[in-house]
Amino acid sequence: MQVSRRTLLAWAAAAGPAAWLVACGDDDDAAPATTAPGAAPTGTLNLLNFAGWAGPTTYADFAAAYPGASVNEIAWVSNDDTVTKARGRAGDIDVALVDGTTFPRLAALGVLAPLGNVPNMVHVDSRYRANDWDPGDEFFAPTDHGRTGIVYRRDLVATPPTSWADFVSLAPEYSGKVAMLDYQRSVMGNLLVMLGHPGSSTDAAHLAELQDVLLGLKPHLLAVSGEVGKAVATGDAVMAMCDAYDAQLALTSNPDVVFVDPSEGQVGYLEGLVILDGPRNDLGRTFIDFFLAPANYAAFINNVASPYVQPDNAGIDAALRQSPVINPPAEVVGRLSYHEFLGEAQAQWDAVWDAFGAA
Amino acid sequence: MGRRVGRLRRRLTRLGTEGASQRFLALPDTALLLVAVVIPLLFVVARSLAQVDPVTLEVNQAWTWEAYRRMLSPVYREVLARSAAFAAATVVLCVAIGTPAALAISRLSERWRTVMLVIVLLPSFVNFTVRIFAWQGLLANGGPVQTVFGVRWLYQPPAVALGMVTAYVPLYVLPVVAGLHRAPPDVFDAAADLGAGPWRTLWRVTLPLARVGIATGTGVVGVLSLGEFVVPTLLGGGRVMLVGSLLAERGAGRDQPLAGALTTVLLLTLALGAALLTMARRRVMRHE
Repeated sequence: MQVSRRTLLAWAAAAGPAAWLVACGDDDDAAPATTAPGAAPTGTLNLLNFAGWAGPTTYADFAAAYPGASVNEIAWVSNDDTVTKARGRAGDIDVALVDGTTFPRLAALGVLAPLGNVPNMVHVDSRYRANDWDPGDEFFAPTDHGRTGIVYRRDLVATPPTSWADFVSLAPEYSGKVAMLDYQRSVMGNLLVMLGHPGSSTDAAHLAELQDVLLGLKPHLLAVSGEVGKAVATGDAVMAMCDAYDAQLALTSNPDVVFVDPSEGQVGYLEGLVILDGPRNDLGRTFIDFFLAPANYAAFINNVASPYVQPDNAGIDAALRQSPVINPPAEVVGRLSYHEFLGEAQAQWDAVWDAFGAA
Repeated sequence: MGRRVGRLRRRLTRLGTEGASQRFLALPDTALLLVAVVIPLLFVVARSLAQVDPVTLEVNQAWTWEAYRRMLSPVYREVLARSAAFAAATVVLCVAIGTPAALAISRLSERWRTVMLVIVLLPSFVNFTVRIFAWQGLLANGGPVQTVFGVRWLYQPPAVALGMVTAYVPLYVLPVVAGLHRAPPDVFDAAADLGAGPWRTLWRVTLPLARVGIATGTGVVGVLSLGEFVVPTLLGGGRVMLVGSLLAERGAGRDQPLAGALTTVLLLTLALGAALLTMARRRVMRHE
C-alpha cells in the first residue's frame, strides 16, 4: 500500500489537531512570488543550503538588489532529508544545494524546474558543466566542488604518504593516531579507487574486498569524524583522510599540516543549485543568477574557502587561488571522479559501512 | 428505608457527576498525549513494517517484518548490545556520583540547597552541543586538561564518560533530591534517637526514602543515554556505531523501517523494564 501525501493528510485529519500541523507545509499556503511582466520577482525564497554556505552578506545584498525579495536559509540536514523535503514540496523549498548523487533522485521525483535563462552561468568553467546527470545544463547550476585527500603532520610522520596505499600501510605504524572522514561515500569511494576499482562501484566482489580493508583499518583509527582536519592540526591525530575544505582550515591553523592528492586518484563531489518546481521559480532563477555573478561568487568562495568553479574569477582571494588545495592543478582534477548515484545498490554500501561502524 | 435509598441515590449521582467532571478535566491532557505521543508512536510502528524506496523515499506500507529481521543481523545486534552497555555504564556512573551528591544537597538548609541546585543546573542553561564542543576544546591535545593533568583523553573512553556524566548527572540529582526533600525530617531524628548510626540511617532510612527518586533518575538517564549520539561522536571520535547515531544518520531517510524497528523494540524494552520496576516497588511497599 502506497502512502501518498493525500493519504497522510487524511490520517492526520482523523487525528484532529495533527492535521493542522501537517497542512502547515502545504503548497496552497505558500505565498507565491509576484512577478509583473519584465519586472524582478519579489517574495521570500526558501533556500535549502549548508548553514552559512554563502558570502557574508549574500542574502542581504540580494534583498537590496531586488526590493521586495528576501532569502530564508533552511539548514541542510542530509541528502535523504533533501529528497524528503523536495517530495511534493513538503518542505516548501524553492532552491536547494545538491550534488550529483541527489540530483538523479530529485529528477526521478520530477520536482525540478528548468533553470531557464541564467546569464551568469557563462562564468562557470566548462569542466564543471554538462555533467553526466545534467548533460544539457538544464537544471543544475554548479557552485563548488570538493575532493578527499590525505592530511598529515610533516613534523610527526617520518615517511610522507603520497597514495591511499601509503595511508593504509602506514596506519599500523601510527595506530591510534589516524583519523577518517565520517562520510561513507568519500571513505568507501577512495578506498575503492585505491583497490583499482571505480569509486562508485556496486560490484559485490569489489565491496567485499573493500570491507576487508576497512575492517583492517578500524583498530588503528582514533576517530571517524567530520572534523579530522582539526584533529591533525592539534596533533591528536597525525594523519587523516580529509576533505579539501577541512584540510585548508587545518593548513591555515598549523603550518606543519600537509595536504596530499593521492596518486591513485580521488573521488569528489560537485555541488550546485537547483530550482524545485513551485510558485517561486522566477525568484529562484533570479537568485541563482545573482549568486553566480562574479562579485557575489567571489564573496562566497572567500567566505567558505572551498574549491571553486569560476577559475577566472579575479575577485577570489589570491591566497585561495594560489592554494593547490582550493585550486587544484589540472592533473588532479583529471584524476578526480565524482560520486555517482548508487540507486538500489545504496543498500549494499550501507551494509559495508555498518559492518565497519559496528566492528 | 426509602430515605436511605434516596440518600444513596444522591451520593451516586454526586459521584457520577464528579467522575464526569474529572474525566472532562483530563480531556486536554489525554488529547495532548494522544496527539503528541500515541499517534506518532503508531506512525513509528507502522513505518517499521513498511518499505522505503531508496531513491525517492516513497513509503510502501507493505506490513513486512523485513526491518525486524534485518535488526537481528549480527551487525545490528552488536550495535544494540553496545548501545545498551553504553547506557548502563552511564547510569552506573550517574548513580555512583549523583547519589552522594543528592544526599549531601538534601541535608543542607533550604537556602543552601537552593544555591547548590542552581549550581548543579547551571551548565544546563548552555546549549547541550555547545557544552560538548567546549569539552572537546578542553580535552584536545595541548588543551587545559592535558596541560594541567598530563592526560590526553579526547577520542578516548574517559572523554565519553566525562561528557555523559556531566551532561546527565543533573537530571539524576534533581529527582533524588526532590524525593528526599518530601521525606519528613523527623524520621532522621527518630532513627538517631533509636540509636541508629550514620551508616545504618543511610541504609535503613535515607536510601529507602530516596528509592523512588533513584528509580526516576535512573530511568531518565537510561532512556536519554540509550539514544545519545552527540557525546560519542564529538568526544569519542565516532569510531563505533551506536543506535543513536544510526537513527540520526538514516532514521529520517532510507532506513526509516530499520529506525522504526529499533525504536519500537527499544520502547518495548524500556516499557517492560519500567513495568517490572513498578511491580517490584509495589511488592516491596506491600511487604513494608
